Amino acid sequence: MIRPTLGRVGIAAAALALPLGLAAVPAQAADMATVSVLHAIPEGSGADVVDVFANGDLLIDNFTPGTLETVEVPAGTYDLAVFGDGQTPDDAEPVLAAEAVEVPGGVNATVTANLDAEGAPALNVFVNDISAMAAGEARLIVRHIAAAPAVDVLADGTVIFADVTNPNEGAVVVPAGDYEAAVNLAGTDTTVLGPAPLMLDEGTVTIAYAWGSAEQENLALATQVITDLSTGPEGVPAGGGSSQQLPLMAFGIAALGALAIAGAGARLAATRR
Amino acid sequence: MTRPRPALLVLGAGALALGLGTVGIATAGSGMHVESVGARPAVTVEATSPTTTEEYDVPRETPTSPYRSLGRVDATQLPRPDRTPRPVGIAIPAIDVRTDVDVVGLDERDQVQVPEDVARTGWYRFSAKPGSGSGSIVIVGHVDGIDQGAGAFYDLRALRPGDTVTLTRADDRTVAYEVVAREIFSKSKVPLRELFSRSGPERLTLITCGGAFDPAALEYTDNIVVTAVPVDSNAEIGQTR
Repeated sequence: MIRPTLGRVGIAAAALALPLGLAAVPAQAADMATVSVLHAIPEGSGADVVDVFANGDLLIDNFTPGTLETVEVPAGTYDLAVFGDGQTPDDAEPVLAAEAVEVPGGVNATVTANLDAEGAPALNVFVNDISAMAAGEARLIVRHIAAAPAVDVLADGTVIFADVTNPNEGAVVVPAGDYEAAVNLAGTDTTVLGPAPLMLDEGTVTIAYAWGSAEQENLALATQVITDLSTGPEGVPAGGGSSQQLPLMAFGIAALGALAIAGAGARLAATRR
Repeated sequence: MTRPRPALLVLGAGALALGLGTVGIATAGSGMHVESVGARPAVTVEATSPTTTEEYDVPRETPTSPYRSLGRVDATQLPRPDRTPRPVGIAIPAIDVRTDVDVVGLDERDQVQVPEDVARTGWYRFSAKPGSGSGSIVIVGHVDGIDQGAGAFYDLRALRPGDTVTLTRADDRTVAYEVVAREIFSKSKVPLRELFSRSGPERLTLITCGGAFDPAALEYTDNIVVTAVPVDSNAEIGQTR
């Protein structure tokens, strides 16, 4: 039984999301949160088909390894429990559980059901950084949720996160584009995952999970993509002015307007005396 | 002194009028538009949509569930590089435009680069590609240059809903679009995030400058934006991926 909490980090992420959220997110969003659940316990570990409950209500039905489901939930405190297929809180003990998980309004989080470093099933809660990015940028987050030792994560052959251990993560904002991703055993040239082509689109958060078990030889990559977080470019300057025959015309109009309004203002001032 | 003097009122009003004047005193239309003809397809820019390659059936929910599923995906499918060919040419018969499309990015101020040669246009390299089925394909072109005269998109403002725009891709296939909206925005109010969004249905977004030229800032006051949507005969192009 673990007791992860979203409390502090969750609030920080919500505050970051607010400026971009105001215009784009429905009005009730402040009371809602977006929670994704990733089934990252490999097949054959006793959790091939599970049901996920939150506060006793079915959250996800018939959940299988390698899949990710995203659910909108009211902000609040949740007891999460994972049951074998068809079992319920009324008639069985959960395979996995996490109590009192704080989910603040506006937060975007991912709960992973995975193996810990020693190979035992575990639940982990990660807050997803969905703060806006400048034009041309993408965010890459890498999470180690595999029964495996520490790893280095490489992009295009360069180590970008060193010595990442289960259940930790690394995050970086990079120029949008196509990369080749690989995972090595920490401090070695031994590649355990990849290299695999990875597209990081402008304005997307790509979360790569290393999951599975080194011992069972089923280490794999899974990804979660959150889109549309670009602020867009700052503008489109697409004119030089050479076709403007009368560039001063606008100022002429403005001057006329100024005269008219000034006149009205003077009259108004006179009337009020 | 309890009351502003008339001289101050005049100064204030003059500044206000100057602001109006530089946008051409165009108050037609409503909201943030300086002018608007037709309508862009509605696109919800929302940060929470799960997108991975394969959508699964959304599991049924009990009517009383407080939870709403936004979809289930196969997370083992990595986001693969998009191999859809980029646009290399654009033709707009209604305004006699037929020119090349270069690849453009961002300048040091994070503004979209526009090809130096005003006769050419530029495809914003982080935007969607023709025939990919989703997102905004952004092509920018000068209305004019500092000393080169009229640019490729000089007459963009003359386009009307129903006019045709055809893109040629690097694989020589053409993708046809039909204009659905022409909008003019004051530069401080251009909805850049929506116009450049990668989500929503595929659409073509053409952008140039308009309004009055501000000789002090060396730029125009407005952006002219034309939105076009794929015509039905493109159906087979989306399937070539």
